[in-house]
Amino acid sequence: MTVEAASPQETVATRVAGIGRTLIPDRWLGLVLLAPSAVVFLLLLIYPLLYGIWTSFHSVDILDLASGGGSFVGFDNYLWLLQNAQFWHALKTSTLYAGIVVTLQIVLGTAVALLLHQSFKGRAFVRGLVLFPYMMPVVAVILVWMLLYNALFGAINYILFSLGLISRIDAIAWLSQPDSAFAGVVLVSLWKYFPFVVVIVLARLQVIPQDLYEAARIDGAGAWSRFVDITLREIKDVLIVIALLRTIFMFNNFEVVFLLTHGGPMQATLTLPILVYETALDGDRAFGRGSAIAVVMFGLLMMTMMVYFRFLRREDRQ
Amino acid sequence: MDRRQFLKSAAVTGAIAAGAAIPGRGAQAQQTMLRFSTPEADPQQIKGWESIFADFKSAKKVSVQPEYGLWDDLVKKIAADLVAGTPPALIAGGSKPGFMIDLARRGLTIDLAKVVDEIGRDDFDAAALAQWQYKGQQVSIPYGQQWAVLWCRTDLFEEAGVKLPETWDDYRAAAEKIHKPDKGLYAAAFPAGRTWNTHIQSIAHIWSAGGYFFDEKLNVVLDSPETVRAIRYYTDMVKRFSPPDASSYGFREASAAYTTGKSATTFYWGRVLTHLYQQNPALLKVSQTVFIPRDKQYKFGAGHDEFTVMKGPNSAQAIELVKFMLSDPDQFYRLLAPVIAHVVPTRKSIVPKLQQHEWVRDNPRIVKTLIEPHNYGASDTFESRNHPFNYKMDAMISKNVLPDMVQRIVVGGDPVEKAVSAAHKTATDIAKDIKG
Repeated sequence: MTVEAASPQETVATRVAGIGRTLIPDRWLGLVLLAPSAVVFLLLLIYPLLYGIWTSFHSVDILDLASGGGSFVGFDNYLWLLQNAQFWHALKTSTLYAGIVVTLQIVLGTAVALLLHQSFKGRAFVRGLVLFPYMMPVVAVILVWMLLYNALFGAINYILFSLGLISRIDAIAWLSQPDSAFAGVVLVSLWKYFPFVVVIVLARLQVIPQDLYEAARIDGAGAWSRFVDITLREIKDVLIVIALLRTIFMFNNFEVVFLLTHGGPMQATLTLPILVYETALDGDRAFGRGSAIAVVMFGLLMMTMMVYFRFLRREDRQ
Repeated sequence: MDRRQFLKSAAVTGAIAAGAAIPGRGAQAQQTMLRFSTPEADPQQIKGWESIFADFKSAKKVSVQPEYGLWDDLVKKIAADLVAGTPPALIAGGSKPGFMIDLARRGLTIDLAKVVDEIGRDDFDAAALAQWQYKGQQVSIPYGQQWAVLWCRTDLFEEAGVKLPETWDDYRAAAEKIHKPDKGLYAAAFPAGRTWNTHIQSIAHIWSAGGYFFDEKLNVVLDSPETVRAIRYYTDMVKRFSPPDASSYGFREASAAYTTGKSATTFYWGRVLTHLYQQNPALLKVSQTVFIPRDKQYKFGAGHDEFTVMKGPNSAQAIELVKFMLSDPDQFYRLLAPVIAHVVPTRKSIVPKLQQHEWVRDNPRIVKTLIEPHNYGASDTFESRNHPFNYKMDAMISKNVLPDMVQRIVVGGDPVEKAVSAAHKTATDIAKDIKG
């Protein structure tokens, strides 16, 4: 193969051996290849975000959005939000819900992962089975749980009744009392999403060098000591990442809570995503106010993300 | 493969894929797809819609793409569709005149006055048509009307030696004798969930006591002695005689409580007749309906099922579909037959056909209150004849003002006066922000 000598006017970047001129110089190629994903990112993430922030400063009915209607109201929507008791109640409920669910998911998910890390017959099958709740569509899950929780026909009350723990007249209305409804929503969220933790922790467990355990055993370390000093230490970083990601996910979760309780009873399960939905899309369709709540949610989650990024940076440095 | 070859093959592959994904203009021109949205979506109703659409396709070569939703979510769905620039061409049902008229005010709907004239204005119930008019426009065509009644187990009333109730006192006295929770039988099923059904039933009781949500100038007047009296009675019936999970009841649960035999009575529309035929035919012989028991007067919500045509590229075909369904008595009847006696036709000429249905003929004790005309109807948008069109009530419904008030008493244990006063304040705050 002969190589044509490059003329002084041509740069090396515009010529490729045996092919001739290229349309894109090498120094631009990276940017050009990135451009499609950058455009998608701008259109699908940045534009809606900026639009949401823009509408949060406007008084706008959702039906006016298509025609570009609405009037600028400055910080009025944020002032309204700060004075709105429902917002503070929903913020408290969301924080509590996300905190409790994530903690329980991590505890249960880690325990199940440890169990599935052991050798036993049918392990591969059980590992597949554990993923079942995570794979099921949310609507189907909710319908099943609503039947389980039903005060009159539900399996939970039937078991309690059969065991003599409650009388028929004292049938528990699980989703009709504030405390039990909140607990009911937490339980479903835990059941539905804990397999995510199992998968991640299990993957991490499989790469812990066995030598560490053998050395610890030789040094006389017991099971608890091996768990705390080796396993927990090794999976700690993964657990922190899971905690951050799950917190963001659960804080934003709408479907489980809404489908189970619609935010009731007595607003005991009214979370911020439901409040955004009710404010922006319903009734007076105050899209600007709904956007203001969503922007505040975004700010709170950004703070969580900053913790996550700081953690990642520390990891990189180490 | 070097970089250039890779880029060339990627470009060719991409072009082929894009070409395959974009349908040809010819294909688009041949096929008109009409989007249709409705919450009237019982399995039998879905079959009914789909057989009508199949006939329409044969007759007019237009396909209909149905989208079935929930009563509680229709407004949100349509609003979101509009923002996305993809509203359905035709909406059926919804019973939200406030929202539909708001759409008309913004010029988003088609005036259907001419369609009514073509079908025959005289044959329509004038009062029903009037509910859906705005500044001379016929925003929607109500094809059916419906109201809730009290479904009663006659065997249990006879066994207890009490008559079917006409007044609140009758109902409470009967409930005392029928209620046997230790045997899994509840005397009533007053809905108290954070749902539209709770709004519908509780406001009907406020009206019956002589109260209103708004006065004739559309000021909130919820904190009246009449409201306190009505809500005291309502919540007492929830706490004492309804199933323990009544505070999560919406439409489905209130109906199921009766059809499964758990409650001796329930407030519901005619749809229960179909449910009994399908799920518990034994109860048909021991069921009867009466008007919802009254305090000072009979007064309860009368809703409509209506057709609304949205402005868009397929409006003309949507109008054709409306005419197709409403002009031909056989097609019209197919709208009603799947849940017979649930929706009463607004065209007078169709009523005799309804009365020939086997289920209607066989169950006179059930259908009488459901299909015979009466003067007790009111609506959220016109609480009385003296009230102007109420554009504020939709917000009260969607913000669950009345259900939250009921729950504060039933679940939270608040005194009635305190809960009513809090609801009044909430409603006043919401109303303050609503522009006319």
